[in-house]
Amino acid sequence: MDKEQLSAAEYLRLRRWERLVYRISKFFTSIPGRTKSFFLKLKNALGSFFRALWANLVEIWTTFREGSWQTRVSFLVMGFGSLAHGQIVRGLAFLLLESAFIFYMIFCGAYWLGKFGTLGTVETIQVRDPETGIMVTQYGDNSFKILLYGLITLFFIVAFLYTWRLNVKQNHIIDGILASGKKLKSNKDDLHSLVDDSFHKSLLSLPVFGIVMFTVLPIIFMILVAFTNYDATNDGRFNLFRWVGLENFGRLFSFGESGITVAFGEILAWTLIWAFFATFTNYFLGMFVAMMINKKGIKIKKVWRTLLVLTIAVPQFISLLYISNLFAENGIVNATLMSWKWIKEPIKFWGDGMLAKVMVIVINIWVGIPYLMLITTGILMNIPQDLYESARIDGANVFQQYCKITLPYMLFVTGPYLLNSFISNINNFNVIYLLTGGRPWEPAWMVNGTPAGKTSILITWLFGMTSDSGDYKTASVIGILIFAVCAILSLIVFTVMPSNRREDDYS
Amino acid sequence: MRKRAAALLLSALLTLPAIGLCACGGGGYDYEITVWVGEGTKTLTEKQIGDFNETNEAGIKFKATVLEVSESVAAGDAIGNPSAADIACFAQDQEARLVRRNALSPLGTTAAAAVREANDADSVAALTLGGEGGTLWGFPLTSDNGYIMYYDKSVIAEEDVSSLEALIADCEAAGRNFAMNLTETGGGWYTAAFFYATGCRSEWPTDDGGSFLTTYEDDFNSENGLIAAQGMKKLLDSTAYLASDKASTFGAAIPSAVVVSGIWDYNTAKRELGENLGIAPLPSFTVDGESYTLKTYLGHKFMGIKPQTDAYRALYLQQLATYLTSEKCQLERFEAVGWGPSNLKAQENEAVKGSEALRVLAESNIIPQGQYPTDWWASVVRLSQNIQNSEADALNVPLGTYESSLAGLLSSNN
Repeated sequence: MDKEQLSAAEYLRLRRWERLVYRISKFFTSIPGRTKSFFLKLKNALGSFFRALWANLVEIWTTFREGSWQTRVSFLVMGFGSLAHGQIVRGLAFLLLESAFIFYMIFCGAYWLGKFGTLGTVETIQVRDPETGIMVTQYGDNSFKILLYGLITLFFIVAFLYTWRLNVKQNHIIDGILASGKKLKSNKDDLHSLVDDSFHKSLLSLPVFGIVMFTVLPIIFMILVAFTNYDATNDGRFNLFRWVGLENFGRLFSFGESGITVAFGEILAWTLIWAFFATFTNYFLGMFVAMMINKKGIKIKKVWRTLLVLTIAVPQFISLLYISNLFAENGIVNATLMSWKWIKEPIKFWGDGMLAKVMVIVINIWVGIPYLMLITTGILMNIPQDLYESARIDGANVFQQYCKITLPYMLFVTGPYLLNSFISNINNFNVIYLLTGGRPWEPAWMVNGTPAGKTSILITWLFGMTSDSGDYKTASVIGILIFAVCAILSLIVFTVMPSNRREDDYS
Repeated sequence: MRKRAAALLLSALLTLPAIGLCACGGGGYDYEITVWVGEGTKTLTEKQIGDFNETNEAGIKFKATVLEVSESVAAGDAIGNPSAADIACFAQDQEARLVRRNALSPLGTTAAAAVREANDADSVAALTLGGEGGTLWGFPLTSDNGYIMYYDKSVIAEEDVSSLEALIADCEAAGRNFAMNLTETGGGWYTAAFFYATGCRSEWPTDDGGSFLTTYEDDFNSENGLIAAQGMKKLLDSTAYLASDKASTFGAAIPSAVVVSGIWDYNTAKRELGENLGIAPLPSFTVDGESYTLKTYLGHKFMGIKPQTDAYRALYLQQLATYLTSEKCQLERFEAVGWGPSNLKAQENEAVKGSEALRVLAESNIIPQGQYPTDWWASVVRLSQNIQNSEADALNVPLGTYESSLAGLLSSNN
C-alpha cells in the first residue's frame, strides 16, 4: 500500500478494507509527524503561557507604579481600594477572603504544607502510663492527612493567588474608571449583577467548587499515592509513608523477584481480549437478533423483545451470581449432565482457565444482547428502505446487502458507542467479579498478597489490591495505567473510526 | 416575609449547637465505646455490658454501641482504622498480624494475671507472643476453633468413617462429593492436617511485638512431607473431591457426602442432614502400609482492645474485656451460640461436656495453632494446588517449590 497521502478521489476509489488498512497505516506513519507537531504545540503553548504570565507581571507592576495610594495598599490589604472608593461589598469580600486565607494558613495550612515534603517525621509511639502501668499510644504525624490536607492547602494557595490577582485587576479598573471621570459601580449594582450579567458566576460557583473538591482533588490525590509507599504496612498512622518517586512504576515494569511484569502483562492482555470479545460478540449478535425480530413475517415481535429485555430487568448482581452457582462444580448443570450420563465427572467450568474465559464471554453475550438489540432496533429502522430495494434490483444477496448497506450504516452511527462500550468493558467489573472473581487463581501472579487469576482483569485486580491486601500504591499505579490504556485506545480508534471521517464515505 | 425567613434561619442556626450539646451530654455514662462481636452475639453482649455496668467495683458505666462484625472482617477493618471498635473479637491466627500492625494494645499486669489463671493453657500460650513470659495481647474467648468431619450416614458406612480411602470410595460409588477445602482460598488451614499427620512441623516464632523471627522451622519438604502429599493426592485425584468447607454443600445439586469443616458449621449440617448427620474426628490415610491420622488445628477466638490514648479508659476497657470473657459470660455464649469456652471452670460445665461437636473435637488428633506469616497460608494452598497438578511420582517438585517460597514470607509484613 502506498503510504503517501492519497487525494480524495483516489481514496474513494479504494476498496473498503483497503481504506481501513490505509487509515490504520496512516495513523502509524503519522506518529512521528504528530509527535513533532505535539511538541511544537507544547512549545507554543508553553510560550504563550509564559508570555501571558509576563504580561500579567508587567500589568501588576504598572498597576502598582501608576496606581493611587489606595491601590498600592490593596496589594497588601486586599479590597482596600474598593472599600476606600465606597464599594463596600466588593471590598469586604476581598478582605474576608484574605483574612480567611491568612487565618487558615497560620492555624492549619502552614503545618500541613510544612510536612508535605516529607509526609511526616514524628512516629507514633507506645509509652507506659506511670499511674496505671498500662501501655498507651501517643500519636505522631499522620501521612495520609498530611498528603490530603497538604494538597488542599496547595489548592487554597492557587485560589488565593488568583483572588489576589483579581483584586489587583479590580484596582487597575477602578483607577482607569476614575481617571476617565466616570462613576464607579455602586454596592447595589454589584449585588444586582450577581443575579444579572454575572449570574453565570453565581450559578457556577457552587458546582465548580464541588467538582474541584470532589472530583479533581481526589483524582490528584490518587495519582500522588502512586508516588508514595502507602500500603497496608505503611498506613500513615502507625508507620509513616513517604515519597518514593517512580519506584512503584519501576516495580511494575522490571523483571525478576519483585517485578510484577508477568502478571501485569498477562492480565492486561486478557483484559484487552475480553474487552474485544465482550464488545463485538454483543454488537454483532445483538444486531443479528434485532434484524431477525425486525424481519417481515415475524409475528408477536413485542413478545420476543420483552422476553429478551427481561434479562435487563433482573439486576446483574442476582443473575450473575445465580449463573455462577449454576455452573459450579457441584451445581445444577453438572448434576443434570451427570444424571443424563452425558458426563462421568463434573466439568470444572470455573476451574479451567480457558473454559472459564470462554464462559464469561458467552455469559456476557446473554447479558449484553438485549441492550444492543434495543439500541440497534431503532437505528435499523432508520436505514432508508430504497437502498435495499435498489440493491435487490441490482441482484445483491442478503449477505451483500448486510455488508454493503447495513453494516457500514451501523458502524457509522454507532462508532462512538462501540468505542465507549469497549472502554467500559475494559472496566467491566461486575461480570468478571460476580462470575469468577478472577479465578482460577494463578499462584505465580500473587503480588504483595493480592491474588490474581486467569480471568482477572485489571479492574478486579485493582479491587483486590485495595480491598484485600491494602496495596494502595500498586493499585494507584494500575489505575493510572488503565487510564493510559483507555486514552491511547480512544485516540487510535477515533482516528480510524468511520464516524470521524467525512459523511460521503458512507453514502 | 423576609423577616420571617431571617428568623427561621437564625433559629435554625441557634438550635444546631444545642443539638450538638445534647448529643455530647450523655446520660451519666463515663465512656462511650464501640464493641464488635461475632454473629449472633449482639444482644447477649449488650446485656453482658449492662451487667458489668451494674456490678463492677469501680462503678464505671460504659455506653456501648455493639455491632456484629465477623472475626475475619474485624481483622481487616481493625487495621489502620481510627474508627475501629474499642473492643473487637478476632480469630487467633490474626493476632501477630494485628499486633504488628498496631491494632491491639497489650494487657496490663492485673488483666494478664487474671487471664492466665482462668483459661486453659493452650489458649493462653496461643495468645502470648514472644514465647514463654512474652506479652499477652488478647482475652481468650473460645477454645473450639478446629475442624471435624461431618458425613451423611445414608451414604457412608459406619465402619468406613475412620479411613480416608474408604470414605473416598463410598463417595465415588454414590456419585457424591467429599468436600474439604485444600485448593481454594482459605485451604491452607485444612491442608496442614495432612502434613501434621505425618509428623511434619512448621513453626514460626515471633518476638513479643508480633514480628516473625528468622529462626522458623519447617520440614514439609521431607520424607514425611512426601507421605503427606501422597495421602493428599488420593483425595485431590478423586472425582469426588470438592474444594469447599461448607456444610451447605450437603444440599447442593451434586450433594456432598462428607464435609470437613469447623464446629461453627454444626447447625447448618444438622439442618441439611437431620437424622442422617454423623460427626467424627478426621480419618486416617494409608501410605506404604502405614496409617496416619489427620490432625486438626485447635485455635481460639479472642477479644482485643484497640490502642488507647487515655490510660484510665484503657484500664476500664481491660476490666470490661476480662468480665466479658469470664466463666459466666462464656457459658452464656455457649448457651446462645454454642461457642466452646476457653475458661477452665466453664469447660467443666455439664452442658458444655454434653456438646457432641465439642466432644468430637476433643477426641480429635489435635495440634495447637500457632502464629504464621500472613502469606504462609497462601503458600500452603499453592502447595496443594501444585500437588493436585503434579504427577504422582513427581510430588517432591511442589514440595521443593514450597520450601523455596518460605524465606520470602518473612519479608512481607502485611
